[in-house]
Amino acid sequence: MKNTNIFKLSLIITLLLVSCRKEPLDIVNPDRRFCNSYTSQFETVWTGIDQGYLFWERDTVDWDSVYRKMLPVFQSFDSKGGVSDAELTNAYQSMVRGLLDHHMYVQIKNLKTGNAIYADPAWDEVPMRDYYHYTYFDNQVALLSTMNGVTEYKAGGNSFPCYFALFPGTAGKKIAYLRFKSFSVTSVVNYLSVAELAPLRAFYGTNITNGVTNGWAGRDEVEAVIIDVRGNGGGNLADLRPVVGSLAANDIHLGYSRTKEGLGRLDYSAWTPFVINTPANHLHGDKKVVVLTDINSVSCSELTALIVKQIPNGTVIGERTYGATCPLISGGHDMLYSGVFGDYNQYGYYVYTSNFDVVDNDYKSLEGIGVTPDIECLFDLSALQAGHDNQLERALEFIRTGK
Amino acid sequence: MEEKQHLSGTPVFILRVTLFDTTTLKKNNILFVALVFAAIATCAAQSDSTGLSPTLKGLEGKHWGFGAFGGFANNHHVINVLYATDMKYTDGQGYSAGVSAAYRAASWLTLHADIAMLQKNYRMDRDNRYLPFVYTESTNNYLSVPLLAELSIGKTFRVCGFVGGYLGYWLSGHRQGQSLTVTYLVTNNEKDTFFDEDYIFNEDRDNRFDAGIIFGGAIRCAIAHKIDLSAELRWYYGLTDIQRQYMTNLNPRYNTTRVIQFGVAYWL
Repeated sequence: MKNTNIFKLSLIITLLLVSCRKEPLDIVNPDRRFCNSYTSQFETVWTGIDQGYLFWERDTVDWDSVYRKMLPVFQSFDSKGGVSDAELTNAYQSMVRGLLDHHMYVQIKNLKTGNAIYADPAWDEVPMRDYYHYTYFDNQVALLSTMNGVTEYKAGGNSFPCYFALFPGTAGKKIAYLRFKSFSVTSVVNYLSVAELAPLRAFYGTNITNGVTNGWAGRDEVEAVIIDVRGNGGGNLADLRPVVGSLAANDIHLGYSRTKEGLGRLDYSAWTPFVINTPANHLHGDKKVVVLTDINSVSCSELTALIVKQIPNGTVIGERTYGATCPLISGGHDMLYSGVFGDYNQYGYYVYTSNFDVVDNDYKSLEGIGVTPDIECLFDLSALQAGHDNQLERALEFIRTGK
Repeated sequence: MEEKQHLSGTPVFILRVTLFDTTTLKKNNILFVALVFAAIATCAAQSDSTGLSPTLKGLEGKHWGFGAFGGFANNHHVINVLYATDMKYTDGQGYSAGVSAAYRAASWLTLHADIAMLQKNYRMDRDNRYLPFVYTESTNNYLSVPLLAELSIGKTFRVCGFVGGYLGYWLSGHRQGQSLTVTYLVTNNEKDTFFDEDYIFNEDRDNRFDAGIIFGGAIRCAIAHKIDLSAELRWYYGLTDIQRQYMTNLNPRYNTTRVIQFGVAYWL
């Protein structure tokens, strides 16, 4: 009988302890939620960033504190029956202030006015840099054909702004120059006309997706190439291999990448090598490779600068870049439960954010910082107004003089 | 009869009692298990009407025992994936080994203290048409110290039930698998999705302290003077979240580990 009582007591204690586990959460997918109040919009966006944001391991923002601080603000918007676009913008800008992600923006439909408002954490940082300036893409390319010694000048169409030129180099050799406004080369080659693709074909050759074939960049009479990504907002990662990888003689080990692997803030996948494989048709290491950057070089443009920094004969000239070095893919939330979520037209909110964390070979992140050039040359508006592109001239000087 | 009704009225049946997925155990392991059970059954058959075979009466009156054990662990990772419905977690197989000390306080009560190395492994697959290749196999090594109170019936051949608690520490981990990588997006080559690495603990997230309750049953049989063999089934039921409370909306994760193990003990 004594044995039986001890057994029963043990069993009861065991069963009581079994019930000590915490209950799972009950959270609706923030990617697809109908919101009919300012508060529910806020809670959905907050939750989506809470669970899908990529940089919580490094970010210094206290996101739980943001919730406690901002929830009463949005509740007051509901109790007032509406709010102006400016007030709503300010509220969301306060919410995302300080977040590292320089790709991020939040788009919200103001339930009262029906207008879209935007908030972007980079707005609080990038314009504060002492070298900040707008993009003068059109003004700069307008000067291109008039510069000293330019030959073979070619311009693309409006659907894919792209420019090619040959500059005189040293000892009778030439410098091949290419500038384009976005990384969409691997898609536009499928539908643009030969005339519109002329700058790309002049630089790489007729089969652009295979790298450098019969274009100027690979010819012996060209001693150096310049890829100009100033004002280039980035684009498709698939461009990196043919467009940039083909400028290297060997594969480029850029660093490491990871993504989210769960809904916890710190649930990450393993770090995996971020390697740009050189295509079969590539330069052979006997030419200088220069990338021109400015503060408006974003995303793939910044990765281009990082790649060229890894090339033994590569040099980055210009300004520290924007700081959105961690890429994303559209529709990523369904695949990775991180990154872009929401649908503005259907649900009245949309958040654009990264889903691949990228670090260099020393596991150092440049997100929110940008790529620092090897040779700094800041944009000079007065020089541009006087008919000079001072940054391009500096790149040409470096190639010709070695300094 | 009253006792049975009382017990069946408790929430004991909410427990997951699945033992082992034998399809995942290797054939050699199953053979080994069968051999040990056969040895114990043979020993039991040799007992006389008093429960002691003539050569095994030496265990009577012994109070302290020391031994070693080893076996197989099947770990169930308890996580509610919420809306991430294509993340499929499945049980992982591993090993358990350790040493034990026992004190026979009475003929029906023995107290055990073990030091065990225990694996709590699991696997996550993505059932996603865009990412059919993505998976992670996690191997996690724990040092566990179970303290058990065991009730038994029989003498040479004893049938035992035990309950207790354990403390543990998450010593190390390893993970390997495939994930969607940036390099894969550039090359579209599946070879760029593989990873294989020792797990690096995140001190903000990973709760390496482990504690829980432990219960199960065993059969023990004396096979020689001062020596007995045992076969055990154990449930390690974790009560500590494997994550620290580092965010407000933290979804809890636990481990429930089932172990089948065999041991030998020497009684002083």
